Amino acid sequence: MGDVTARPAGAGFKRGVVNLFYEQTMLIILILLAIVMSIASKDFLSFGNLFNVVRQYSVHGILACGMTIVIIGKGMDLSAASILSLCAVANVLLQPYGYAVSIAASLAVGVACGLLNGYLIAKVKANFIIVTLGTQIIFTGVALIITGGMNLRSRPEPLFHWLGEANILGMPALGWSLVLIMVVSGVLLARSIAGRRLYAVGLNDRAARASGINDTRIVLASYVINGLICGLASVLLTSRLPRIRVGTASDYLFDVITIVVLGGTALSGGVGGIYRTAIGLLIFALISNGMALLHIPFEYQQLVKGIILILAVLYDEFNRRRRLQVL
Amino acid sequence: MKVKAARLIADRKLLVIIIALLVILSVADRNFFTLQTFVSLFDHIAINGVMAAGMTILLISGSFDLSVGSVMAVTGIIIVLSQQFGMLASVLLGVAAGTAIGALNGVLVVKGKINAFIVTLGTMIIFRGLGLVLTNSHPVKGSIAAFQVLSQASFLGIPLPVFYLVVVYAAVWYVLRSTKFGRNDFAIGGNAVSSRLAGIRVDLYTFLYFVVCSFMAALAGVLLTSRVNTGSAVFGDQTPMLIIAAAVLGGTSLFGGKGTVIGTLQGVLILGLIERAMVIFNVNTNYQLLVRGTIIIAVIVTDALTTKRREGAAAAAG
Repeated sequence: MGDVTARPAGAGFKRGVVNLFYEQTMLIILILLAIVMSIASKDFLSFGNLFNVVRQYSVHGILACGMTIVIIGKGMDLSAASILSLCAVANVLLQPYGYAVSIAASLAVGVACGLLNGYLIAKVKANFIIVTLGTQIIFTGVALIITGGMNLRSRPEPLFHWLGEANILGMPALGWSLVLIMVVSGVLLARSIAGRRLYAVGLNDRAARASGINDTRIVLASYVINGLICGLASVLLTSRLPRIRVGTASDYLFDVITIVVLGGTALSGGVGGIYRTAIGLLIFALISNGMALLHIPFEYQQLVKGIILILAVLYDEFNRRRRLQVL
Repeated sequence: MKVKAARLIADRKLLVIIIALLVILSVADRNFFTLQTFVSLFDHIAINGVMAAGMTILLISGSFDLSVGSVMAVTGIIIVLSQQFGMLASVLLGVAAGTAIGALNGVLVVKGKINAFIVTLGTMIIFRGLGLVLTNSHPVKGSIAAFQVLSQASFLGIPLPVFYLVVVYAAVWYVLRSTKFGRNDFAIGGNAVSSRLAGIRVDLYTFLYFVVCSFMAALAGVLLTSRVNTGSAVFGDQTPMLIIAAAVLGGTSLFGGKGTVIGTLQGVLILGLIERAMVIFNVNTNYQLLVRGTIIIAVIVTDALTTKRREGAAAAAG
């Protein structure tokens, strides 16, 4: 789904199997991991634990959708977690005016932040890494200025709060929101004209421009959509957590990048998709949950996550070269 | 005449900024314009300055390194934790550990062929994590008093870090200008493919630039640890961005092939003056964050705009 993969002409059965193995490595790892986990820990397969996992990582998953879109366009948004913070602050501050206003504010702030990033990267053509590192500091600064560095209490209206706690058909509402956002963004990427153009720009922006694609507008749009998704994530975050502390969101950033890369969306742009990110999310959630169940100290968990990121990137590069060879 | 004057100002824009900042600060604070202030200013920028010199070498070759803050922190932690083996041994061990991180970055970039940004992002997380593991998430305190002399003593009334700064910049200036190591740096940053075709060992040199960058960050770690007599995993979490901004402000291009260490020194000085100004004007820490972020964005946008204009001019000429 949404992949640009090379199929060798006249490949034999063996080659097909090998190819399948390389393209679906992460799915295989996921299945193995799930089996190992359910043997190692009795709690793992319980519904309570699984729902906890869903609740805990749905915000990660939503952010990862936006990040996937940006990375496919050969970019990266290091300010995503700060946008999330700022949107959450806007949301909480406007809650007294009703939840429609506060949700609208979150989304508007997200779009505005995405617009700033997109303008500087797509129009001004500034380096996306430094731009988003800079805006990361700016957005966090603005959020801290607004809150005065204090914690905020989120007092969502009943309906809003229900979103964070309720179960529908046995699955947390947060999980359903995640599935919905994944399906919408996945269809956008794989089936819409703009989505296909984004892949083209990510693979080769000059070729895309030469064939008449307005690459500036596509890249700009990818950052705006990412901002919007961060806004959506903040709505769900504030419905679940009663206390919002600016700065905590920064933990999300590396996790989200790891999830996207783990799934197999290439940092070199133009390869990947939401389906892959979903697998990345599940692997990441299983490993994190496993480490928590095994009582591994927080410091070691950070270390492990960093190593996973590097390994995932190494594998990504290996796969890229393999694809080139097949071509 | 008018054009000439405009050119002169454009070429010296960093000096103009520095002078403007000095004027503003002198007006705002009567006690600012003294020799003492300047000495303490250079004393303060020494740590960032040493790191920025190493970063400049790496940026010229077209790569960059986000892990320098973690290198600095890990170096400090290892120095403090190994002080039982004596001061010299602990410093050597710390610097070796910091430099080894650079070697790991270099190997992953050159042999693994991974984007420098993502490699150093990964090592940044890993080694900050390692720092947390080593210190159990708490700062650790040094036990050797003599170690603090390294950064806190003065010679002829001038603090020692100022001398280190001068020596490092003189050395890097010489190396970039007059050695094979330096010339290859510009060649690789200008065009890696044609450098390889011309017989330059691009992989080897790129590896070395990563090692040198981390080595400088480790030296900065020694200075910092000696100054605060503490090792902590949270030190330097914003330094990579500020240091890259200082170098780019000083005219080093993120696209590689262009840069001077003198420019970087001016960039570091400007950022140091701005930090000082924020203290003098009593700016709230949250606003300081905003100012820093805005400076980084302004610097990078200017870099992009001038590069684009130059490319446009080249396209029109060609």
